[in-house]
Amino acid sequence: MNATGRRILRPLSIALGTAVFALATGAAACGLEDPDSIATRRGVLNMAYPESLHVGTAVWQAQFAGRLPRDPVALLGDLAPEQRGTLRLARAKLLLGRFAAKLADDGAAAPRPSLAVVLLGPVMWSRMESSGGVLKPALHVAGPEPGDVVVVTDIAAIEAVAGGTLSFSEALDLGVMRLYGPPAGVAATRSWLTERARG
Amino acid sequence: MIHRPRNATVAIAVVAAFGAFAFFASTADVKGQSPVPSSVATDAGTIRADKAAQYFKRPGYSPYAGRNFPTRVYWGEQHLHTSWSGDAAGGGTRVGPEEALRLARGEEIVSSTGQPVRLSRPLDWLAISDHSDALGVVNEIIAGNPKLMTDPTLKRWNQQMNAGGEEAMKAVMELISLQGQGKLPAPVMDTQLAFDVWKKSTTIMEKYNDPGRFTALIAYEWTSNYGGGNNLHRNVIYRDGKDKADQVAPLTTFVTENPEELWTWMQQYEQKTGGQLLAIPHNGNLSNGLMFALNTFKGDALTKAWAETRARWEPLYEVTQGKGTSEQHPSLAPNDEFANFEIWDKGNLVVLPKKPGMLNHEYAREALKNGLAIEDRLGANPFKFGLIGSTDNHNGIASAEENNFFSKFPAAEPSPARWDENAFDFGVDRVIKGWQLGASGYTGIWATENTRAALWDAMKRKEVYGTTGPRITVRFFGGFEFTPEDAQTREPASIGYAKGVPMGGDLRAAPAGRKPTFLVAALKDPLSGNLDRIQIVKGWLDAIGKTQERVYDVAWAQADKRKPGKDGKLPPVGNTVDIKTATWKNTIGEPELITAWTDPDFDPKLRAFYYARVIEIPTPRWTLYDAVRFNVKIPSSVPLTLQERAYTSPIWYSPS
Repeated sequence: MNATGRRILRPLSIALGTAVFALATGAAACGLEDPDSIATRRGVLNMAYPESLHVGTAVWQAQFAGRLPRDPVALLGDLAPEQRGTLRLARAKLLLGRFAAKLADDGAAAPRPSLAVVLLGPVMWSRMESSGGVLKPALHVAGPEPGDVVVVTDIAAIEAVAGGTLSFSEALDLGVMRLYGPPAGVAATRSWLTERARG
Repeated sequence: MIHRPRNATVAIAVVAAFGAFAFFASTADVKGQSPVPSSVATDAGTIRADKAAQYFKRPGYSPYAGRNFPTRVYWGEQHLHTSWSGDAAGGGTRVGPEEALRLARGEEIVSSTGQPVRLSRPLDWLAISDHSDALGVVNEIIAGNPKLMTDPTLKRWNQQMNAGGEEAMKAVMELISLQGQGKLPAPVMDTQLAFDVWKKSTTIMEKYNDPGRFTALIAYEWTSNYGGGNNLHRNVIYRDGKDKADQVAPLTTFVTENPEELWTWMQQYEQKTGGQLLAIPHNGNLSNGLMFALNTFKGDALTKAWAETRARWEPLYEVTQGKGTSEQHPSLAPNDEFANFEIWDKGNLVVLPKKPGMLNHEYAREALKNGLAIEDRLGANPFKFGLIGSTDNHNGIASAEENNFFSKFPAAEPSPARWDENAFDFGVDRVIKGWQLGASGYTGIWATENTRAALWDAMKRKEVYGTTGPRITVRFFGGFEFTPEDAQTREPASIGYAKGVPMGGDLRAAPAGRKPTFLVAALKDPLSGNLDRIQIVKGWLDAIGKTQERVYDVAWAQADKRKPGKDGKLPPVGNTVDIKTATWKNTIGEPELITAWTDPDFDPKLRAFYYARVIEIPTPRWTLYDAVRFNVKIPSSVPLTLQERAYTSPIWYSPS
């Protein structure tokens, strides 16, 4: 290994822990399984999707304002970090499934844009591919595919939308969901979500 | 040490020789009698009374007329990273140097997590110290620096990063992956690239440097993690502007990880440019015993020349910052009940555990003591440094306020979960939790004006002090003639400079029968807590060559009620913090404390140092503000209050 090459981003490696290696090798799918890497994953996300970290702030502010539910796992006493991670992963999969179902209850004949939903807290990715009005969710995947519209959000927003206490358009207005991707896809997704808000 | 212009000193010496004449002539002139000539011929030439008088200020009505010592403390910090540091960019920081400077000047900006942020009060100065290693590389790739675009991989990354989304993510991941394999494209490691970025950086600092109003000091961090995370970092601070700073590329650890070679680089810079530099180490607490080791970098015995060289280039030490306190470890000072403050002692920068004995070479007070022993043996003290504080924040936000804590990285900016997340995670038992990060610190500089030259000169002479965030005003003078009456004045500095030396100074050879006396005064930060006490920390080398230390309470609040116990310890000042509301009352403590203190244990034959530590009453820590603002339950094991403090630079006593 080239010594200079090893040193070039050493401050980054030092500051962000072992996460850089884990990320580079794709050793773990998300920060719930690999808490070491959360800070790095968020940092990369913020570079790829500018201002995506703003979603985190919008979420806690909405929670503070009573618009979004609080994290129930945080209230579960003295759990080990791994136990918290397992609980949060299971809960995220459940709520994302409900979220996908809400989007799928559509009836549109035209194809919808493919979505890649990333939960900012653990930087956990899921994909929702639409074909002929049928939405096929793939939960807990490695990342987005080319052409996906990326939805940066967090589990509290997913829970509120899936539970019907917050509409898609409100989520976009509050900044607890942000859309990234090809302009046409983003526009189509915005219309789709707004329609679902009415529906 | 009395601060006066050199020509004035000469003139006063001359006038002193003819003092009676000058005074008589003046008086006579007033009466209109002029019995003596207004000039006199001497071997050195003709001295005219009217010319000499311009250097001889007669007392007037204003007590402030004619003062030439530093009368203001200038607040700032010298350790802030922006998106131009590789690790900050990787952590999601979007705040660049310009936004960071605007925030320091008092403007409101938006943080990397979209949160409006402003300081409670502007700072007077700021040094941005981005890492010289890979300085601005990611930004340059995005911007399409022509030197980088010759490489097809970098050209592709440029396109991908500008495309955003998954393409950008792929590029960043590929960059990280190739870095791990040591296969980064060669142009990235080109020293000329870093030099180009450096020149952009100095241009920004010039733009924001506004002499007399706000000082933007040119600086960088040389980031040696020798041996795998052993923190030997130094911030290099320039007295100079862009004209000189741009003549030499900053040193990187690609060239060397040896601090001694940094000193050589600094000397070469000064020789080439005529400029001036100083270096400020930090986080000895994360060096696993290397920061103040009692041998050279290569393990050789120390020499007088080595000691003089280190003392020349490193006149200051950052004693408090976000990654813990480096003043003194509680295990090394079991009688110092205030030593256990914001301590990070699990390991080095990558949390590799410490081995026995390492702590002895990591903390400022130990180094100051060891410096006395080395000076006694070699004739020079390598660890003769003043104390300062800074944040080391990596998000461009120079905030050290508990109620305005934006932390070190964007991931730890305000959110309900940040206290419980892992701030640093290097594996099992090698984790630093978010709550362990500290909202610290700032530096107060006693300077004659707010300019690069005046601030840097004050740093060089160590007339500076560090705080954990509050802007406590502290004066500290040492001499042999201070009396209790001096503590009654409202102008301690006038007496302090007239009868002694300020913080950072030297006392030599006590007059027969005299003991060192210290005039120390502290005034609370109007936005922070009252003062609990002033302490003087003394370190000395005893008669058999062993280092010793003692902490003296010299002034404290409610002195009529609080008396030292049998163990010599003052009872605690109390605690008014309301845990439910994150508020406190200044019903305890005092807004100001002042005293003239004489060392009761002085031995004129023994080397010693003295520095003042000023302690506030308990106030809410940032964790308590988070608990209340986010309505989260934080376990009792997490500290929710703290006693903020200031550390002055020492005054040294030498027998000869």
